[in-house]
Amino acid sequence: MSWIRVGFSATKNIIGYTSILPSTGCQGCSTSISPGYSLYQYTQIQSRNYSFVNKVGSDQLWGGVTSVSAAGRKRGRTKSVKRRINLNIGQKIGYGKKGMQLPGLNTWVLTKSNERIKAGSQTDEQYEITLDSIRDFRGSTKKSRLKRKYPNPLNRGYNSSLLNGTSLGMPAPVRDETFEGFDSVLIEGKKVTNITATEGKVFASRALVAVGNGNGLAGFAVAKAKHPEVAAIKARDKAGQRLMFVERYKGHTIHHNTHAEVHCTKLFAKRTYDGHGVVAHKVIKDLCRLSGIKDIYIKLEGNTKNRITMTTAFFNAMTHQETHQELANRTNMHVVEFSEERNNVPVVLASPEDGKVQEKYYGSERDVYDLDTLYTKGKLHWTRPQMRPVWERLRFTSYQRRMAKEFRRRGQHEAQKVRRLCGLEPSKEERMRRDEVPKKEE
Amino acid sequence: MSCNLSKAAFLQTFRKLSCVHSQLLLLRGVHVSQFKPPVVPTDIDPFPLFMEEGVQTILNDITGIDLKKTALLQPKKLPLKPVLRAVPDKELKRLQADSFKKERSKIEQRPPFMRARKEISRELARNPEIAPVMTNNLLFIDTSAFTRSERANKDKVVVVRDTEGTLRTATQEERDRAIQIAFPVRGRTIFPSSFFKPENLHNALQRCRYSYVLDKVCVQYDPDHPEFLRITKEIYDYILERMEFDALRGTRHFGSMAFYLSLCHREYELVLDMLERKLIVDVMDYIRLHRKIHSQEGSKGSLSKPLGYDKKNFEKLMGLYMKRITGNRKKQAEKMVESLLEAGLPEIIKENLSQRELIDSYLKLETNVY
Repeated sequence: MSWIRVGFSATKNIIGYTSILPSTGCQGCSTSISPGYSLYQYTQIQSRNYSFVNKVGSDQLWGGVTSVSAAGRKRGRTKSVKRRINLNIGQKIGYGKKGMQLPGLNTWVLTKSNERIKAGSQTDEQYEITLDSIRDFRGSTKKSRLKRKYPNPLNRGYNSSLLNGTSLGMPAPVRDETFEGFDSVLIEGKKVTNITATEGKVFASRALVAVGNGNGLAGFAVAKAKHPEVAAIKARDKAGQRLMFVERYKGHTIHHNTHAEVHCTKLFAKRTYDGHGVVAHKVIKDLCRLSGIKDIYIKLEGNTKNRITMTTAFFNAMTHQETHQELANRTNMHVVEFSEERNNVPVVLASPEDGKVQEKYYGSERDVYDLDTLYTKGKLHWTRPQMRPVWERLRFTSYQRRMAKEFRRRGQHEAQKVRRLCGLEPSKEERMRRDEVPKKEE
Repeated sequence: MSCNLSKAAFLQTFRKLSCVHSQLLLLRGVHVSQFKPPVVPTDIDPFPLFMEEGVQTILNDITGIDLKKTALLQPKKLPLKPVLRAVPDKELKRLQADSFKKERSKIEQRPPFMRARKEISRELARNPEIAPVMTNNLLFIDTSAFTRSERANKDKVVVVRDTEGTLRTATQEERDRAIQIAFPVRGRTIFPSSFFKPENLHNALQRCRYSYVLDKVCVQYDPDHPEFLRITKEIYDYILERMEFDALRGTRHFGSMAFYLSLCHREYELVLDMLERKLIVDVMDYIRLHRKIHSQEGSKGSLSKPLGYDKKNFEKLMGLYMKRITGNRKKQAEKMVESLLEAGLPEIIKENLSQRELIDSYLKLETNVY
């Protein structure tokens, strides 16, 4: 028997361990191990009741299991290592297997009638069950790393992980001036580096923030700081002091088509009708919201990744507009709007303030004063014409066959509605009756 | 709140009403008042009277042209891009004259006021021997030459062969349907939409969309169609009850309405409305028209010569007109005239005339030349 042999050459700990075995061992094999009892009776048992478990603190103990070396951490071994388990979960001082009453610990010392409560004992059956259930629950759930909390899509910016595109609130007040009604957007937060002689690579963060009140006042600024949030707030307050006024036509769109160019970024802005909405790059959508432009079409060309040039180009285009009144004064002509929605009646938007109106066109002026191309040096932004699909362009036979097949059914859905209104559409039963095939008489 | 409606129903109808005047009427409870709808006299044939040149010019003048009204925003299916242009003074005048002319040509196309058409039933031939072969009615239209779709209804021959074998001219309803199939009018449907049902029509009228409904009716029906007469009469009565003549002023339906009111001896309300708006010249013209329509000679009688538009003639004309009206109305009219005299009648007349001259000068401008 292996355990007997072990008994002879065992260390004292193991002997102590073996001594327990017979009392708890299985009774089914008592016959086979009976010779061992004789040996057991004559050996002298030494036992010293201490273990390293009593001497070493729990933190140190757990450290042996959970810690990773510095080299290992670099290689990402922290991911695979075991996590610490709370062994005391569900336990509470004063509550235990025996649901004892301990006045001052788990009950009041005095009753209502100022009598002392005596410590009493009674068994608590529920205690163990709850403890087990808590431990089971912990075992059943998968232990995972801390999950990132995703912000609500309405609150987050351009990207869920970064702060870009989020609001930073209104800028800090300057003296007694408060920026009520203003809002700000962090357009870009970026880590920038500087290499110094003494320290090597030094990191800093840079923030581009735009502010505006949504009613013609807007501005932007760039600021740097060591911490990204500090840089953002610094830029926000700076932008509050660099406000510009954006001219708008009837408070919804710009006065005329314009363009602006900053370094490699080109920006084309088109005026649109009421209700068109803002169709632009996501950054420029925010800028339009802050400056109060509701209907515009903006196309960016060239470098579309540089957000600083983008914003400068936007503000350049918006602040260099010529209002209709200014145009009328400059040219000594009426500025007139035509639209089919107004039956093509000439609506005079502005006429010269001094009253001196030019009598008639001179020379080739008629071509020049088309306001769509006046401010873009006679050029229009070119849009690619929409291509029809190949089968439609080349008139494939299969396509023509399909169209011929659908010819009868085309537009019937609309026609059915009209018939229903006029009371001509047959009811369901009537149609079923009509569809029934009459039986042939034999 | 002295009306018979329950509180909820009252609020519901009140919110629906877009005009202040009808809201006031509802508050006063006038919609349950004893409004007597006008009756069209049977002894006068209105059409030749209406088509007279003098009458037409008066109707044109009364209507006037209001460019602000035509430039009101009308929702289209697709919002079209507005075009901006810088134009000198002469060019602007030319453009304005262009739209004045367009507007006048629209106004001149006012729907004529006619009697309802008569039912046709004429048998051409009877051949009962072919009856066993006939399973359906056969309808024949003369499509030999294209005529203008507006005239097609009158010119074309439409004939029906019955299942009993008789050949007869088609009834008016059959004609309408057949001709709409052969010579379709744009926007007209063979079966009229439920929009023209009284309950739906009332809903549209409550929102004060008179000219919109009238335009739709003009497309769907011919002016001598009994349905056309019924609907237009309903709308005109609705306007008369509420005194909202200004909603139609400047549109092509104003002239027709004024003619209808004058024909039914209900011109008083319109005259009062014109006096209130200080349109003295219009009042003088309109009373002249009224006297012409109800003169004993009828359509044969000529229009009285236009008197000079001044204070003296106005007083004279109003004096003659006042003799016919009696009671409470007379007092009201007298009061109006007095207040106008106090406000300075000659100046008002001068202003009215200058307004007309402005329109005339625009209409005379040559628009094709720069």
